[in-house]
Amino acid sequence: MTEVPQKVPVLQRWGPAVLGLACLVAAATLDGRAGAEGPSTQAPAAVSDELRALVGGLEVDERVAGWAVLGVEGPPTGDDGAAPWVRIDFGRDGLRFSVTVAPLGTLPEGAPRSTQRHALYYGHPHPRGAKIPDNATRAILANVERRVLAYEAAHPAPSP
Amino acid sequence: MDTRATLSPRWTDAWLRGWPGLSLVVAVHLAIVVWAIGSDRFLHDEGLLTHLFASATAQAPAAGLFLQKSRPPISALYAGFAAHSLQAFLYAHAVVGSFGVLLLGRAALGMGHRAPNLVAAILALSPLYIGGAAAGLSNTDVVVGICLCLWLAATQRRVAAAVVLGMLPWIRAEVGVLAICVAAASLHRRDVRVLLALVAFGVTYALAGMLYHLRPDWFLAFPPALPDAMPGNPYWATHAGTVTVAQLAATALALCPALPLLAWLPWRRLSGHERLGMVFVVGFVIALVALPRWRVFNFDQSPRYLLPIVPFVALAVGRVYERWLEGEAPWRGGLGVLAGCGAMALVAGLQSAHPTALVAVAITGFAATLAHTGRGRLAVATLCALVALGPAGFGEGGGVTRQQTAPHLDAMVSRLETLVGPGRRSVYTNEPLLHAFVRRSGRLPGVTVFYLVQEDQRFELDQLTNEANGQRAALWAAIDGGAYGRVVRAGALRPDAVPTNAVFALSKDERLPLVMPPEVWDAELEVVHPGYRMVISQMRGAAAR
Repeated sequence: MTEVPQKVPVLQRWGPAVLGLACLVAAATLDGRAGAEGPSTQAPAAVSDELRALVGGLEVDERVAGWAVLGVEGPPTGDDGAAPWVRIDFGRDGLRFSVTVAPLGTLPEGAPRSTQRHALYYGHPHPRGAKIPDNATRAILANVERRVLAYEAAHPAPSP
Repeated sequence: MDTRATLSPRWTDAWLRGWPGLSLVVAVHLAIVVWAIGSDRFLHDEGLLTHLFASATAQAPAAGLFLQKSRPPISALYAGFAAHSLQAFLYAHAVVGSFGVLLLGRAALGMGHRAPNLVAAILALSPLYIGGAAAGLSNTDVVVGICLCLWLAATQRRVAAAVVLGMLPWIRAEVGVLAICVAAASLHRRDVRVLLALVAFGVTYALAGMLYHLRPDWFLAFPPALPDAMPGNPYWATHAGTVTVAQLAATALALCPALPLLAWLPWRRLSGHERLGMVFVVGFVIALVALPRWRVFNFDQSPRYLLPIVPFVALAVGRVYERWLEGEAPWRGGLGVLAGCGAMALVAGLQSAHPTALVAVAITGFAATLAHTGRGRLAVATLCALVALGPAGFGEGGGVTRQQTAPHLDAMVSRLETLVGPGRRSVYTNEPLLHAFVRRSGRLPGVTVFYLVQEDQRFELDQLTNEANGQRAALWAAIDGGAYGRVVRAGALRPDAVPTNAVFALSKDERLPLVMPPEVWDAELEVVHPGYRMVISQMRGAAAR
């Protein structure tokens, strides 16, 4: 049976709930950001030169099929087992979406495009549920695919 | 709303302290674990290793039991089940894990807890404990051992408790830290009986081993683990041995989602055993987080190593429940500690874009306010809901799911199905889960899986076994019969010894060139499915045959 509590100062009574509320607000903010950026469980890091070469050296602010490159990111630092994926964020007129290039076999099957060694995905539209024009995704995927093919031609497959 | 008016003391006694409540907790735990075994969600190479040592012990009992690395107490316990099948072993492991829950509940009752079944529920619903129990990990066996010690100690059988505790380092060496803590406390109290009981198993085991090994120094000559990594092992060149705040927070939640509640740990309420346990928790966590950075004792940052703290954390959380139920004024510093937890959760959230730690701190904060405004029962109910959410919402940080340890396994099997079809083929692999996964799922029925023993695995077994008395040969003979598939040792892996239509399904592993030198194998293999985490190849010309 719960006993009658002893006198508890206001800060001790309500402070934990206020802190809890602040944590909830932060969680909701982060969750929204995660929804916009993708399901990654670790923060991506700036992409290495080698990975940038995979997408033909794409840089922020470069334009592809009329869309601006907003970011080029890779696996989080410290994640030793992560596959060397690259995610490119594209934006235009308040719309955003991402294209991810990952080695074959590292992400679920069903990539809309793939090369001999890499799979190309797109998704994470922002605002959530926004419709990205098909011709834009097609053109951008084709552009990125060409870059990856050029990279693969210049860097033969490693030994098994 | 306070539920005082609607719950009779007899009802609460039955569910919070009596057998009905404890039976329910144990049954829920067992049901979740059995479901997880059936789904192969936690198929894990370390669990298969526990099975391997137990089956080797069944085939060569003396050689297995006097290999310190084999975790002799549990190899003996599971030998019969492992000899029957992997499934029988996993179910036996699940039942043993549920005994741990039962023992912790009775230990908490013996220590005078007001709601001991809630303490048991914290262990029963720990996401990592559930995963470990389903996977067959020795880490959960050592937790069961700790719960047995706690129950024996709580029922005034301290010598028996010390005997059991003295045995635990032969299940998981890191639990020696707890034995050292108890030894230090016993020395301080000049409790000679407990000190002797602590070393009883070790001394008996060492003496018996002398008869088997025929050398007095066998204990040191063939230790339970290599003190240093194999020279030149490329594994360590690619593993930093460090941990981020996000990983720490995720691990903490996978161990116990109610961990932030320790902000209000009522130190004065703790029994002597519980206080000693909390000292162990602090020392153990610091040691296990810090030591891998310097490669000391050759282990990494796997969250499962921290499982031994869960029984003590559960007991401490149970004391906070008790304090809340009794309406005792909270410790004033608790809010500051919770704010610290919130800050850590925020950093973790920013690092991982995953807000789960913030949610756990938030629920803890709301529960604390309920408690501090006189709604103790509702506060405890809120915390119970947080704990119950654990297996579904906070298990990510445990890192023991098949999707986390071998995310490419499903794709590997799908590609092998396409390549091999229903025909009979030999598949050579360094992926320890492949054999068990295809056998248990019924896929690739015509395939025989050959497991390529890695060089550091061979090195370790050779270093830790006695060649002179035949132990090494006996264990290799037992292992050759089946370990992650049919075993191929490096010496036997030559292109001319492999069927001409053989397929190689190879996971990314820095150690692979040590057993498949590129200068030998590059010319022999044709890559069929290139990839990062795995590559599937076949012998050149196999497709034409």
